[in-house]
Amino acid sequence: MKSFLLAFRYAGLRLLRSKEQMGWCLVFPLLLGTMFYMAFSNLSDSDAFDAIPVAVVLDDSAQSATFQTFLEGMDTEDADAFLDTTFVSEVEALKLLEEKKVDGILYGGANVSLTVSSDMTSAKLNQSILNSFVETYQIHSEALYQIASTHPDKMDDALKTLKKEVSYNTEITYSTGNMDDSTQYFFNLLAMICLYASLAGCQFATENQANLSDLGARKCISPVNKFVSISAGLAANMVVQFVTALICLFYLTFILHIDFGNQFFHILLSLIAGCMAGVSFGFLIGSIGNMSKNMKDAILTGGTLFCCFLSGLMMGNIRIYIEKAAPIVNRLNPAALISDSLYALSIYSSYERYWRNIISLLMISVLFCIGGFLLVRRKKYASL
Amino acid sequence: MQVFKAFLNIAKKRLPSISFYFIIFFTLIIFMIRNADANINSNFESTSLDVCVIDEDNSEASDAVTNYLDQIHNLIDLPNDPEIIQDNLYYRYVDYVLIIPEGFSDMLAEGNTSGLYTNVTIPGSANSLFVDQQIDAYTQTMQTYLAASYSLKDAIAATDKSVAERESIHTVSFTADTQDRSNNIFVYYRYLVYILLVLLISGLTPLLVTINAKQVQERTLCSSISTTSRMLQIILGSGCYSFVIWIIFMLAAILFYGKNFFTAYSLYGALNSFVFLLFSASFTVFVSNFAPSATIAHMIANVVSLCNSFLCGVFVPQNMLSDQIVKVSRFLPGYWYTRANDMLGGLCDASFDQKTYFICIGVEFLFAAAFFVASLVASKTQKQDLAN
Repeated sequence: MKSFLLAFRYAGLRLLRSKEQMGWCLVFPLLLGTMFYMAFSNLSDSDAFDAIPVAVVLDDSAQSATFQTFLEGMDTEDADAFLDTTFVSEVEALKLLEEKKVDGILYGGANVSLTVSSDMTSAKLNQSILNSFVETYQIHSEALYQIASTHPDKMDDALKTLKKEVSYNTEITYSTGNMDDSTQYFFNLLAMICLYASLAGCQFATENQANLSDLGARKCISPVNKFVSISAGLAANMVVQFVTALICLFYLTFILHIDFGNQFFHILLSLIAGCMAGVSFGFLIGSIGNMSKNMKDAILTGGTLFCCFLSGLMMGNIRIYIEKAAPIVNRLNPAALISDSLYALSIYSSYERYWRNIISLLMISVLFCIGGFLLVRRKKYASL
Repeated sequence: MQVFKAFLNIAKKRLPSISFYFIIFFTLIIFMIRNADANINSNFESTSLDVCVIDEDNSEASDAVTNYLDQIHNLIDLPNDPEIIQDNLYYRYVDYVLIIPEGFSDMLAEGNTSGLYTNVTIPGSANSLFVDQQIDAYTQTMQTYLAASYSLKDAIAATDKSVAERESIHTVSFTADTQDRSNNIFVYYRYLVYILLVLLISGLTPLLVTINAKQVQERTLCSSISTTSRMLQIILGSGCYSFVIWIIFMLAAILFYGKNFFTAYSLYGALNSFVFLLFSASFTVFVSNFAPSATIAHMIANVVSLCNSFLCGVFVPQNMLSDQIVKVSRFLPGYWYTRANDMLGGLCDASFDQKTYFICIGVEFLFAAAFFVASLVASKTQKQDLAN
């Protein structure tokens, strides 16, 4: 136990003294977190519906007044307003459309139609909603016309039905959690921080091998049991990396106010499991004796980035496409497991999925550690 | 050309790790372009959402509603499992889930105006309003026909006829359509800005750090090679490395997009990426002056390329960023690259304008020149430190 604590202490000190790496491991996620926060500050509102600005041009027909009253009913001052109408002449309406101050022009009166600008690709959904609104008007008019010609005696019943306030749809929700999909970028950022612990794991593995570093040669001739010293070193690396991840979590939660839900201890457990997976992955790759350091670094940094990409660090919805095409990737990718455990905590009230992810992460970590131990065991050097 | 040869030798020695990075990022761009929304058409087309209909009624009326939605939207097949539906909604794989309950047909015939459907969607989203509006219009029309004593079959047929009779939307354009909207190559160019920057900083920095190592530099400086010649040879080496990477990505573009690569706008896009390559290379030379280790270089590559991409409209479109962020991102070259590229490919509202395009290219070039000068200054300072 004493030798374990001693090895633990020195491995921890060694890591803390590599200031450049520690600094970057801390600065890197804080910078990225801030940048995500800035980039997504507007995005969470993008799903929300705002009243659609529209120019209205009325003709001289008798129906114009009815149409105007109908539209005014939709342009209220409250938050539920559907339209933001401006009644103008055709010339002015076209000018407003050209200046992109309105998303479309509604022509009302004897005929109702809609004109939109093909230069406004960013307003496509609003244009579609306007189109759907006009189509509803046209479909209802057509229905009344048909009924008037085929069943004129039933016109009153038809009109009564059309005038009814309807709410056919009942909206339900399967989760009371945070549905803002930009939060998943922060889940992936935390996953990335955990997996970057692999760099420290690799460094530790290199410093344990007599043929790769002077420190390794020194450790090799010491009488401490290799299993004990490596276990202590891995534990120390994990603790230091976990503290780094904790600082980042603190920054994201309390400074940037990212909503990760309120199961704080479960989130910490996710980070511990994530750091274990990161350190053990680095230990496995670092223990491959005859591979150059450059190649090991490339595998770790490139591999980590690739795992995070597949889990949605750059394109948020890629995870669900992978779930459709190759679900096994999401079950084995450590970044996906970390981010999914945080997602499951945030969205679902049951912990079944969360524990499945944590157990998978722990199993992967154990497998990586066993692989690393198998690669470094029983290595003896007569001379170096 | 001894320094240049030494540079190539170092590159050769590091070829496995460089190739590994290359393969990773090449795979990334393939994933990116496959996943990207390529919905770029010049004329108005009603937005098609991804809608899932779970029909528990399986009646003539519920089939009619499903068929109607199928005409407008992409119907997605999902099992009726709350967890799967929730995941698909969260990751926006599906925008709207409509559940038609058992007994729908009877409720419709009885003239019920509430509780006919249940939907699961992102609460308060514009997408849900859009689909709700269409379902309400269709259902109310069906009920209107039913109220006028039509049979269910006739009411469905008459509603479908009314839907078919609707007048199409008019579109106007205030600018000559100067964009290459149907060409998806601009989505490829958009992501290339991330790939070029990260690949150059991750791959080239270790080479430059090795050749600029104190002892190697001291040995070279005490030879007959002048510092200018040494510097020029290193720049030549870095230029060759960068150029090879760029050429490979251009060849890949030809492979992916065929003759679409050779359109005038696409070639403008290629020129845009080349000028950005110059910036990436000069920024890499600048970073390498601070002699970071390979892992630190990779972290710098990550921070810089991801910041550049997220803040400048690569992963999040420029029109979705807040005005303040757009103002800040003007100080990053990625903004000018993306602005020119989006303008060429019709990925934004602005139409293509040659003057604006060359302003964008010019600003990118200025960024490249600024970092080139900064690295010369840094290199000179280092030389003075060595002399002291």
